[in-house]
Amino acid sequence: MKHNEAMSRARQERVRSAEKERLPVPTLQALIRRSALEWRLTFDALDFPLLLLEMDGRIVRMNEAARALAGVTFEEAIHRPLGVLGSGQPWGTVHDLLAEMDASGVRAGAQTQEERGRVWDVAISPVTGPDGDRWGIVVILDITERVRLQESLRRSETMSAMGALVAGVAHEVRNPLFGISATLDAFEARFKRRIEYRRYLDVLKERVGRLNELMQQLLDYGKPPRLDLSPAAPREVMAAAAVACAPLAAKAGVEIALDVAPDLPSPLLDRNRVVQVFQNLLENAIQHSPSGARVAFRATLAPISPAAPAASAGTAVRFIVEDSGPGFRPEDLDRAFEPFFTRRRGGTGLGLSIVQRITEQHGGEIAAANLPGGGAVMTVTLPLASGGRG
Amino acid sequence: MSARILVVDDEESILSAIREYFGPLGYEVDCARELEEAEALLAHVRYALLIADLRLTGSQSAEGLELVRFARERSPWTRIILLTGYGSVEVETEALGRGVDAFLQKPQPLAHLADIASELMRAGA
Repeated sequence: MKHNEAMSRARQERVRSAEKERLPVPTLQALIRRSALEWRLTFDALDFPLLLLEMDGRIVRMNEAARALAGVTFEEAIHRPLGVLGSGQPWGTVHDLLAEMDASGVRAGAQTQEERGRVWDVAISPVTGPDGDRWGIVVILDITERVRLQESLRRSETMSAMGALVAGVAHEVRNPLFGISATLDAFEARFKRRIEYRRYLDVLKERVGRLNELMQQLLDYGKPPRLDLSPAAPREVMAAAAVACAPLAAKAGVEIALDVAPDLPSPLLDRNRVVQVFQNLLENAIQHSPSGARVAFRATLAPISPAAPAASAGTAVRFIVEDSGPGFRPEDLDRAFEPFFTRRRGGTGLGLSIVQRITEQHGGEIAAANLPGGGAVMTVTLPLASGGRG
Repeated sequence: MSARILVVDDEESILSAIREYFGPLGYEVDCARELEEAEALLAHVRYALLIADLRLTGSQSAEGLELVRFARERSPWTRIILLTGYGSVEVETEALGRGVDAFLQKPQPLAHLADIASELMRAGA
């Protein structure tokens, strides 16, 4: 800002002194060229795309960020129709907004998402050109991160409200549930020799066990977002989860293979909750693996988000669980973290929701995908210093 | 010699199930549904073990902790098992700090409850 003010002051002084001294034409031309260069440098220094358009869509000017986003040279774009910048977003929206502004005569704006997932805020405002013709000045802002944070915040607010409700319900259910299970225990102790009761008892006990598991998961899901953070060595946390899953793995004939990159730093974690995250992911992987298969559990250093600039590389630890099962159905990938969504018989559909919740509480990210050769891959990225989001 | 137990819960089915289950194991079981009733019994009867719900009479307060405080003062020889439908780590820490011997989640298999009970009484004897 100061720099700009200084530039503008300097220019005014030059104009004043030019008037006073009645400078020769070549000197004035040099000043004008210099001034044009200053403005171009200023525009190019802005890190968001900026374009000046004629009403028929031809490009009058654009800055370096706009050129880089479109992936064209200035020669290919200047004085050419908007179409040369490409047909995808945000250019399609620019085209639509130009027509809207042409009709209304006032500023037009919209948000749009491109295929790769970036979200753009596009606005076009009317300006009057030097010959009195109408132009549009287009400002394009990348709001991907802002939208992501808003979504995460909204989800966490919904979660807090739902968590309190769910915890209340789970408690109220657990009391009568204990009444049922205790009565069954007393009944079994008294009539254990009556073989004809056996099958009824087995069904009832199995159902009570399932209800109890559901209640436990609901309580985990609804747990308040207070984290007990301390530095935790990735290998130790991963090993704890693997040990907890060992009986299930042995039963399924599946091997868990740990692969931890050397010299990984210790992120700030709520250790017990992250062990639960890994345990849920490993259990899923084991349950979907054929007998004799291996589940790969790896940890590497990574940037916080795939979209994050390279400067922040190495500020997170990425944990990856891969199985060789059937993978997700393509249509299920978007719903994998939805509460109560499951394809597994007897599953509550809360496992991945809990995993997502704990990951986000740590300011981390989670993604579900399929491997090209089959099998599911779950990626949890946890920042070294937790964002501690609610 | 049979050990005497006091079970405190506002859920009738829990009381009768524990009484039926623990009776044949050689315990004499008394039941109470409310804090005052439980305190009156504790003040007059020598119990080897108290099994209590953290929350009584459907209130949001932790009446079980109040009962623990009373039992620790008036009946120091009684071992205490606290049961809860929703125990946070904070409540568990507080309960153990107040002298609760075991803090368990509901529901709990009665066989497990009986194991813990006999262990506590062996240790306390």
